[in-house]
Amino acid sequence: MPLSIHEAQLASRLSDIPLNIYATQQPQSHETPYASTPYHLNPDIRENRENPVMTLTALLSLLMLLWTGPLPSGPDTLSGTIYDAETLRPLHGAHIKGPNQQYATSSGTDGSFALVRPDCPCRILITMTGYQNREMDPALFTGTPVAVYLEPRTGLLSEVVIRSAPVPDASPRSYTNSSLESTEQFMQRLNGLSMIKRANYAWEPSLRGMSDSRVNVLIDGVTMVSACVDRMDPVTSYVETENLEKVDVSMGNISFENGNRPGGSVNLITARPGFDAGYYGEFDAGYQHNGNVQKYRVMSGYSNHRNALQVAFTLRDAGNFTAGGGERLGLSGYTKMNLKVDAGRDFAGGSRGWLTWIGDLALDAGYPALIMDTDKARSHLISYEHEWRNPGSLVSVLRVKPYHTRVDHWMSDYNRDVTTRDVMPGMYMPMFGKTRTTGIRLESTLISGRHLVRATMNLHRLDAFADMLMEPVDEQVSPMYLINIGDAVLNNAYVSADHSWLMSPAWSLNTGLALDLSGRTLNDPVAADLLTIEFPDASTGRLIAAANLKAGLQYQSDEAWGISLNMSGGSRLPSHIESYGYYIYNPLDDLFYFGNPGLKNEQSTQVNLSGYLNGDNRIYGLEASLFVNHIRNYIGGRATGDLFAAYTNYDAALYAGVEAAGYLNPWPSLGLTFGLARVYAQNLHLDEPLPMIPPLEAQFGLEWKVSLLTLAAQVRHAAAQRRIASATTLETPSEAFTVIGVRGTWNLHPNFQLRAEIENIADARYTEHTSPGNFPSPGRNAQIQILIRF
Amino acid sequence: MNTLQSHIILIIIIALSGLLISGCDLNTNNPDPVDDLFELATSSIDNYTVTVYTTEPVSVGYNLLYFDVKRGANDRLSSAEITVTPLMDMDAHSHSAPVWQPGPERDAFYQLFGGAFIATMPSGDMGSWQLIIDVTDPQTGTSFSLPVDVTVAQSTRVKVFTASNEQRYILTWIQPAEPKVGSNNLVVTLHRRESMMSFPAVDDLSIEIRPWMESMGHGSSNNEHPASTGSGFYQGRVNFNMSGDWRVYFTLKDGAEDLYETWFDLMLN
Repeated sequence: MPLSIHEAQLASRLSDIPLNIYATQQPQSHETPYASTPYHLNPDIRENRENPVMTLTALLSLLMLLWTGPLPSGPDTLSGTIYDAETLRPLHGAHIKGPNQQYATSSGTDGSFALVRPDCPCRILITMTGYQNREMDPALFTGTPVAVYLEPRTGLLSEVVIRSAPVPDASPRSYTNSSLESTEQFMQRLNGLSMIKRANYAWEPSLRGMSDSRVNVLIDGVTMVSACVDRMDPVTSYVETENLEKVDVSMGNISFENGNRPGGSVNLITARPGFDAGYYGEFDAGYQHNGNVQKYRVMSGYSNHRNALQVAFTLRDAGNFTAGGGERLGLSGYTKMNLKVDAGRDFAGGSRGWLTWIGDLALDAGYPALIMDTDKARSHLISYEHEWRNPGSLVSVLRVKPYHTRVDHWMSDYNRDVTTRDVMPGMYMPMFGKTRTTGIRLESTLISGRHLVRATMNLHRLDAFADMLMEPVDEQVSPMYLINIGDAVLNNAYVSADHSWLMSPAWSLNTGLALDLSGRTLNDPVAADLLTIEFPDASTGRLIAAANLKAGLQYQSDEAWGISLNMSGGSRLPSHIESYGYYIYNPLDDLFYFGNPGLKNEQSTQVNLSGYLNGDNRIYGLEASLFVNHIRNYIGGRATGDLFAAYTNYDAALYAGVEAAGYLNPWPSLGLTFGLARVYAQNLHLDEPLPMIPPLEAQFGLEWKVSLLTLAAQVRHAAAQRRIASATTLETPSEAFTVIGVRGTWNLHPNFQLRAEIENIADARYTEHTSPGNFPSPGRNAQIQILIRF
Repeated sequence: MNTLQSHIILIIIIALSGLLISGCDLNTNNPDPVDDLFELATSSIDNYTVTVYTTEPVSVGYNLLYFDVKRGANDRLSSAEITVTPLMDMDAHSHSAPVWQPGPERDAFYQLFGGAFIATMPSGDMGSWQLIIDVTDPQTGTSFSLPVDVTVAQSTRVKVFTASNEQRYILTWIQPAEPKVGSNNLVVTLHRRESMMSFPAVDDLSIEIRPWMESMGHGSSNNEHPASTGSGFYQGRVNFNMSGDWRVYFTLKDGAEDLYETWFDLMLN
């Protein structure tokens, strides 16, 4: 997979020089740290011929020259090729300007350009929509064509990058979401991505019907693990969506950068300060009438050219909300606070460092669909990222990021009537869980000609513990105590490399390798003894490994159309809960689960075929993806009695589906979008559907811009889901529903924005199929929000 | 002397010091294991003194017994023929209890003559317990009998019942003495009341167990039914997956036929 947009955008923000240049000839000026030189022309490097890396550089450079072919050059001409720094594809239509229009041109379909050398001591400017502007010294152009890499521009607000498309920047689905909707809203209407909501509080992404341990959710690339064994605190709940700058979504094993889970990955990337903003800040206040939700956020920062400090605090308070039709759902409110502090330092020598702390506290979060509520959830994430730009001739970016996270979660049913419930009647069951991760993440991007390698290493240790007290209402009965996770320790090492080779302006080949190694054990002897009872043949301490490979071939005819075929094969290590969980309640089947320390890895084989088509000037566009994901040794629950189930390996499961999206912009002020997604998932071992698979879903959107006012409407339809699991869960069918929402944004002033929205106008009562316990979604909800920048 | 040599000498000195220190430990006197036993009674007759020990105060259930027999002041008999007869005197009638007679030689650990008996009911208004100890000195051929009064505390580790085959059985819980969360070695004994004074061990029946947590409505898995190991002992494994109140059901079976079901209630901390 090429350099991610996240990487490129982040890089552009971090650097004073947001342009990535690869010179095919030794530059006469080293003005930019991005310039590098092939070894065969560089006498300093030539002395290191025995270095195999340098030898590779030479070969790659030679290949690059062969592929690039001759370009016009000469002492009076500046010539080169403009490339996307992420995809390495040539950029058509980039503008290259001298001091006046006499010196101006644009890049051709193959990204190449030639410009008359300005007859002045001036600089040339390269611009392109969606990319960072860059000024260059003409002295860099010495006669041989220069490869110029442009960094994609960072969106003003949150952005979601989807990596299932062949070329993200040319795909309709890679659009930055408008300022109208929150990141959650935007993600919810992405094809193939469903939001699992167990309450009105925390959401969890499901990619192509896969979630939990089949999707890797990261915060700024940091591995953070939920503490609640009942999944009431997905990692997404510990970061504020308003603090996100970008969400990097990988559907399936398209990219190994953020892990090798069969469902894919979601990297929640938070915004950090730049180094030239001075004093700045934002105040954001919102109100939703349904549930009397209040939200306040204040963010402020200061930066100069060397130092940056930014603090953001968010407070949310929500009462019980009302479902469609008027039913008020008790215990659905929550109070949540989030504080994020970033301190940055621009060191001399082209390196920068960021110290980040994210603290989150949630209180009294109700879960009407479950049997427990969160009393308190607390998390800390602290990390330090140090970044070097061009530390070597091949290495364009090197990042080292040590981190530590702490998550504590307390839940109970003290606010419930436990005497009448079906599950464990007559007793309270307060539970506590905690996780600690300590690790270091290393990222490096290597560029040589038309080859790009993105290498990632993530070494981390996970410590997890959870326990449970059962207090009978009848005081004559003794209280009971249970350890759900007995001091599990997992030492994990993950190494991956994504390689992209732009074979020609139209063809590219992507390959990748990822290796997982995990040494894991249970330190609590009682917990280990209990699991040994359940699985006498399995050892609670073991070392397991997994390897993953991928290959993809892409064809792109400019931006007009493209097609790609990606295949991958690999395996997923069982999670700590799948391995060591004990007596874990699953609301989907009302069974208590035992982890299985002897589980085999899931073996996934995926094929993804995608294509897109864009009309002239992007008046219309279409995109479609087909995918098949065959998983051997599928890990799932198998009932072992009326109350219990154990994780086991089923022979195989199959996921297959189709996603399609499109847009139509008949006029500049009017835009229409549509999308649909369908997933078929089957447990081949039991010959029944897999549980919690979203039904066919279609969306239609309309956006109209009039001066400072933007209006939008969204229609979302989900079909009924009749394909339900019965052997492994007590899943129930869900009915079809259609919800309509309208939104508007009024930019009263460059620094003052007013937003208004009505969700579920018809007050339809509906239930997302992926929401456990038939948890109904909110009914009609009017909200208003003001945003003030200073 | 170079530096390496001086380091080697220093290491040797430290190592020898360690040996000397550990040697000091070796010279300390080991405590007499008998000190850990509970002295039940000491009684003398003629030239013999008999001391009876138990591992803990006698209670309803399985009770280990240890005997020390001295001839004269300090001559501890290396072998003796000891027969123990537990006797519950209930005014209107008396009965005995299951018993394992001591061997003729002293055991290796305590250097005592070891046996055991099962107290099937507590001492109290219903009656009182005595241990009638008959001893024969094989060297002199001297025999004598000593009664030792025993106070038996109440417990719930013995079940006496009449099964469907009209036989009366005594099921006794021995291990785990202190059940813990996790897997526990399970040992029970089974005896049949042949008469008021005869309680032969039963080895030809089978026992099935079912641990159950009434308050939670579930049991535990992968338990091992106790199987006969001879002399009335049955051994298996019982698993408890959490603390709290547990009930372990025992089903006595003769082949496929269920003879009786009873249970033991336990509290795990």
